[in-house]
Amino acid sequence: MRPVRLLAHDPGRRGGVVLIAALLALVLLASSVFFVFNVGTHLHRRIEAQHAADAAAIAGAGWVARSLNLVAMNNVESARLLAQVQVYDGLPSAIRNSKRDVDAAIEGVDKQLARGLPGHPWLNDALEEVRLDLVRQQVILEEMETALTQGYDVREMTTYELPNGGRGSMWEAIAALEQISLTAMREMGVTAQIAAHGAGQRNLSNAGGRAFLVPFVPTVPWRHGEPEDFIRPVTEGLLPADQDDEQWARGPFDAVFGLWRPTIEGNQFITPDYEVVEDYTVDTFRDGPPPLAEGEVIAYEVQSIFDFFVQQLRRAEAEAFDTDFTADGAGSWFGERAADTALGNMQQLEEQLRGADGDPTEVLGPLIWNSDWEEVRDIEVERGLDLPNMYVRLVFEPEAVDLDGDPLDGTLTLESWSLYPVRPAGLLYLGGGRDDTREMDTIDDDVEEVLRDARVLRIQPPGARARLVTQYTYTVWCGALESSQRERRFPNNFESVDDLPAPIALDLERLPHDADAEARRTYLYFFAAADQPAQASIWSGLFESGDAEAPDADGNTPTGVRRPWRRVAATASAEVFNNHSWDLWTQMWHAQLTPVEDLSGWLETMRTTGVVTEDLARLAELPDSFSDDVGATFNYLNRVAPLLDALREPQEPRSPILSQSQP
Amino acid sequence: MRRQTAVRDLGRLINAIGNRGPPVQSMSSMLDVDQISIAAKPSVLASRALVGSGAGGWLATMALLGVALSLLLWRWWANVRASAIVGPTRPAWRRVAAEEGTATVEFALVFPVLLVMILALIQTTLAFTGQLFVNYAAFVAARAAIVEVPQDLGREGPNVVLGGDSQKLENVRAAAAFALMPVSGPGDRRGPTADRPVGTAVDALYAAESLDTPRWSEGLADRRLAYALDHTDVQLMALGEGPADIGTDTNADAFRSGLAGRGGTDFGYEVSPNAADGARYAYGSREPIQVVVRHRFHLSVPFAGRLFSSGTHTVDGMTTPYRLVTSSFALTNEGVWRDLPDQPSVEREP
Repeated sequence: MRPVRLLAHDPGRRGGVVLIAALLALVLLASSVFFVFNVGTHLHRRIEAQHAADAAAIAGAGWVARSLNLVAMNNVESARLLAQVQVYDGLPSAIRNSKRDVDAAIEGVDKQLARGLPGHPWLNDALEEVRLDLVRQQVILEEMETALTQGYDVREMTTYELPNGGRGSMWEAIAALEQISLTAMREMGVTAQIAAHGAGQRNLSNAGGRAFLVPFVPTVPWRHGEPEDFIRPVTEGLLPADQDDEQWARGPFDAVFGLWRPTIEGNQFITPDYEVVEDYTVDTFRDGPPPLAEGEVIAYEVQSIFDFFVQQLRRAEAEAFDTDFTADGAGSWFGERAADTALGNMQQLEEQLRGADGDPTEVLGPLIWNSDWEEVRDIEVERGLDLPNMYVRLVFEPEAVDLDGDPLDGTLTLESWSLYPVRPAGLLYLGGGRDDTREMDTIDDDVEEVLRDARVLRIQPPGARARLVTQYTYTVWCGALESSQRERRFPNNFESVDDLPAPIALDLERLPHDADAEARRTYLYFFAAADQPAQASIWSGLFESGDAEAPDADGNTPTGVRRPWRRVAATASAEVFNNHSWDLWTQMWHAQLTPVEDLSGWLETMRTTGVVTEDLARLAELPDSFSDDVGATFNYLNRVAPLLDALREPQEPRSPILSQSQP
Repeated sequence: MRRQTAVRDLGRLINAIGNRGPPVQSMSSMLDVDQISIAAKPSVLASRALVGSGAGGWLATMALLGVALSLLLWRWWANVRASAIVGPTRPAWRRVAAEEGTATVEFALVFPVLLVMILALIQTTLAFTGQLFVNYAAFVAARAAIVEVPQDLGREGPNVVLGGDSQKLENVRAAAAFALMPVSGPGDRRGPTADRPVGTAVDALYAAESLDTPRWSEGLADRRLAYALDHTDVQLMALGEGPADIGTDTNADAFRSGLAGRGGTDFGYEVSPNAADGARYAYGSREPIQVVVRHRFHLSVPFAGRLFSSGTHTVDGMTTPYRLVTSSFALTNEGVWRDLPDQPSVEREP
């Protein structure tokens, strides 16, 4: 037999051999290319699966963290609104009154400047500067008053129960925040799963990919708190007592109020330079309208124009004589007593205007001053008020020295603006007495007489008294409220706190704030799995065996199947934590990926964690196949778990063996 | 060398396509992804476990290739001449006899050359595959690094990596090795009584699916894992330049504030394992981490493996060529500080 010869005899058949060889070579080459392509595609699918698992884990955990942050924001904002209700409510009248203060002061300064201050040029300069500052304030206050009085009524924002039966809009806002928080907490689990599923799914390019979060419907233990839970945050900047913990749950307020720095290196004590509004107390909130003491002002303190004035004069004095300026006026002509007197008189006047025995929910307004003595007297007499309180006096009693430091003989009287009743010092200090409580009626004639020419700076001649002091009488307030209009101005006019909005709180019995590792693992750790088909994309018949991925319905393995799983799967884990304070007041909830630990524990969770019917209905947004998909993936993970354990054996660190030079 | 570069570049291209789009900030312990993936496709190349012989060099191969090409050209030219001549110039029997002899010689000479070419093609294919897997291993290692680095292992605190002898680095390395199992070498044979945890688990998996136990689970699976662990190195890199200095964990401040500790746009700062003695580095939260994976890719095809060799080593008692394959991947660290602050030492009430 000579088969070679037979072939060789026929050039055409030799060509066939070449063709066959060429075809075989082509097949071999194509197979190689396809093989590499398939491997690349397969690895791409693996990476996709990992990205899907990561996306699902971080989306689910991130949703939980954002929900908690949302609730924390709402809680804090509600407390902020509660505090602001009081401030806003007092703002219009505060601005109005401040503006009238400023107007009056400017008028007084103008008159004084018109008269001049012979012998005291520095005081003249100081008054000029003060006037400039006052004008600036006047402009600002006018704008604020315009903003607060034109267009809307602040009371419609701040009053809990409006006369028309409605709610003030700020109270409505607080209630809306509460509803948002409640919804966020109730829907958190379902939406986390939907977010996780969607985020994972979008990373999988193969049809039939799936991704999901475990637990299927995450829950974070929480409860609806009590309205009283707002008291401590509003009044003290602390969490509600049952949530508060100096170590684990200090709340966000320490950062706001500067008690502690929020950094972990910090903990330095920052001197608190804020002032708590003392008049707004726990009782104020809880018990409704309080029995106000005389002169008490709710929620805001009146900054007297006197105080400003005195400070400015002290500053001018310090500059003129090159001495140290001190806010408390030590060593100044315009000493501490002067300011105290000014404030005291101011408050006394306010008190008179309110009516000491009036309903605290009623204030008079607007405050219109009448400086016409006759009219004022009639009004005050009509109301049965003590006339001496119709004016406010300031008495400065500094060292009696002149600009050269020599004892100063004479009385310096600086009168500011009012027609009535300007009371020259000499009138009230007859005999050097300090008692100025004489009733106006009894000195009416004197006043009447002095008024005509008292609005001058008078330095009484030396030798008028045995021991002369410089007496500085400054009268700004003089007059009375002309209007008899009354209004209810107490914003917290609710009958009881029961219907008020309440904050959301962590259920610390189930999720204690002492960083309990097991509780965290139970509620704040999440697991995600993703998988997708991974059959060869080209020529799968050559590179794959069998068509089915599992035994058929009868349990028979289809012929030729050699692999237990024809998909690629990946898992991921994420945790939710708050690295500042363990509460629902601090928006520092984070989510981040962590190593997957305790896979069998997660499988057990999947096996045992049911989905309650209510949640199931809401999970209907997910594809119909969701539960089947989860089951299939679970089965695979369950079977592969021992293999993972085998591969998980920790390795000891070893030195590198390979050259570090770049190839 | 150019060819090797081309192989690597193509691998990178494929890898780049595969990783299109911003990587999700990922993690899961290395243990999850890779092992699952491995189980999903156990030992893709298990049947390629041929061990190349030690003979021959690539020069000899090229010489053979040249001879083969010359013969093929000569043969083609003879055919052209034969078909162009009208009528026999020689007696037909003499021509046939001459061609018979030529065919025999051709067959004897061309067959080994063709064999070598085929083997070279196979080895090329496997080298491509190896590069793909090393690229994938770099992704897996980076994915492991961004969640391993934030762990608190006591000796290595959160986000801190030791410059040498680092357990975190070892965990990352293990992740890369697991990813490389399918293209790993055969490893050293062990006795029949040796533990085979991977094979046992594979057996259980197949049994659970009512499938026949694959042959490679008997020992090869465990040996491949051992080979991958023995012949894979990883480096952790940070932005910046130079090796890690001693005591550079002071950028923990930056880490806590969430800012990356070092500037620069290149990953030129080697954190581990080749840093100074006692050096430590603290990654910032969200600071990019680059992982460089180096693997001694086992060249399994006889003769042709030499074409790709960058060295030889002894596996299972035989000296075999390997190719050093390198790839890198960068992801951003997770590592947000998660502990609550220390209790303040000051009173709450001012």
